[in-house]
Amino acid sequence: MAELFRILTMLLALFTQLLSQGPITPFPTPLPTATFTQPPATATPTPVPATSTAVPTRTSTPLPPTPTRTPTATATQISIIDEEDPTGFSVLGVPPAQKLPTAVLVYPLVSTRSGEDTLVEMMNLTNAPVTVKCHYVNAETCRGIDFFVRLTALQPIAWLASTGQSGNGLRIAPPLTAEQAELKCFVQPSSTSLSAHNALQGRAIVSDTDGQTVGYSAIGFRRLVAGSFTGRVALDGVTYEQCPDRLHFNALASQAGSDSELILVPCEEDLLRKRTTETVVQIAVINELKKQF
Amino acid sequence: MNSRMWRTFITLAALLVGSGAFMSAGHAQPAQKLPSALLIYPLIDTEGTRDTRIEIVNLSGDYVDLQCFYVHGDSCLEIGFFLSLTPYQPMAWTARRGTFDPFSGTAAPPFYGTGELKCAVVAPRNEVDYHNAIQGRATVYADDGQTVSYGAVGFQRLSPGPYTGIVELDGSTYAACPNRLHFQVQTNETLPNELILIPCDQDLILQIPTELTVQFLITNEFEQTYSASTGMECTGVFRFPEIASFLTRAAIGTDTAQMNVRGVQGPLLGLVIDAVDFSGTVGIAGNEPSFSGGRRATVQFPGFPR
Repeated sequence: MAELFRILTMLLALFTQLLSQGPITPFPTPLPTATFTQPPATATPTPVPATSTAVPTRTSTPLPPTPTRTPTATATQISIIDEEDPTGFSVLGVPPAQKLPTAVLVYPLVSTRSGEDTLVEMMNLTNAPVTVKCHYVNAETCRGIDFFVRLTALQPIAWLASTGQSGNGLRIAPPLTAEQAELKCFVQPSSTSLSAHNALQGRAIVSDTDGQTVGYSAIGFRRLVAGSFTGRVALDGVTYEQCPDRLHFNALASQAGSDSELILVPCEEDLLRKRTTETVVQIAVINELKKQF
Repeated sequence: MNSRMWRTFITLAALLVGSGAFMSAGHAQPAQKLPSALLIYPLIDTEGTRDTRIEIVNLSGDYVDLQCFYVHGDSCLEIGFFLSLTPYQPMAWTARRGTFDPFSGTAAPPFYGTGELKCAVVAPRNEVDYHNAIQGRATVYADDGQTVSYGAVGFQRLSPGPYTGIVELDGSTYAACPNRLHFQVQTNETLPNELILIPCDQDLILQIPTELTVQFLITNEFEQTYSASTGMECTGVFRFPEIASFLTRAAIGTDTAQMNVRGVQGPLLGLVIDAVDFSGTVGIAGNEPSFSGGRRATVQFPGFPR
């Protein structure tokens, strides 16, 4: 009896270890065969890999939490002072993983300014139909237009922001009347399963009459736990992935004859009341000679 | 102990072991936009009037050494060099000219032709934080002002250990390569849409090109699917009608399509160059894929001095 109990305890310990080890594979996986199979019906969420922070470990301040296989409850995040960090604060939290099927897409730049237009693209990466609720948010007023996009299995769709999109006599996407806006799209799943949420990828191409184009991938946020879509998208690292704590750009300095633009949108937004909120943006610039500004 | 207890024990043991195997089977695709230990730039182009601006940034507060290799798209032959970055240092150079910093001794040779670039962090210590330090992007530009920008594909180190020059993209040591690539593409065959593919698996010691079969599954807006396959060696550069004769607007039937790409013998990385007609003016832009699944591969770098 004692022997049986000891064996059971060892098996439980092994099971717990496997649970906590994330993507490590103690059991070898077979090599893929030459057959090309239809993409799976479910968009499988993947575990977040090991640490994604760039915080130097020599600081005396506590390290931000490393991502684990299961979502962990996050308390209110408090900035931790870090004198070695260029911004003066430690990096917090885990940024959203990109290039994966996601439940929320944010397109930071949709422009129909004079001479410009934007081709908005979205595709359903699953084998099931998907309903997507989208909002254009005017860059100046924060007011928005919302609309629904319904995608069949594996369907791609694209439309020009200036003209919108219609199909079978129905309006799919309205024309954007503002000069500049952002676009936010949310999967309204047909079931509460996780795979029904994480279905989309998207990108946009902004172009002008000179042929100058800017292409970018929409920023994606995955749903992390099963449940229904309530209209309140908690980007808290438990329900959905968190927003990034900071953005890192490798940018060209402004020179005569050339210029760069920085476009920022708030991650937090109240599309119900359409309230504008003022946000302070902190910018740390480091040149190639390690000088900070 | 009676037989009923034994049956219960065996069932429970089988459930524990089986569920553990199920959970641990399979690899995750490499997460992007994170500090990485290996960067792969699928397109470096200095043909004709084109050039490529390459950017790397050290996202850590430590000094970082990188081992980099240009790989020629035609021959798979490599040119290796080392870079040193100070804490948080950004660095950029044009591929045609290369760069040299006399203070740090950092140098990147000029590169001619079309190919790819791979850079790996030579970590001074075994901890994962010392490996995952860099991010990068590239901009291919031409005299006419057209540009194609893309972010380098990043692979994180997942477990501590030394850098040996053998980069195991197995989902355990480093993140795995994606099993398949998903692109949303334009189908207008009169425009210069291009697909660039490189193998994720690479032996830069022997530099022997391996022939790969690439499978395609294309889905239009009406959920109709088409399939095709083609072959490639070091780098595959394909105009869409070269992949399959049906990859035209008329045959596909819609302006846009979803293209799933998978390598048979090994995983692939890639980029599409979109050409879009905006009211009579054609603009081009880089089109990076989304990933699904993970598949193991190995990148073998020639030895480095310690």
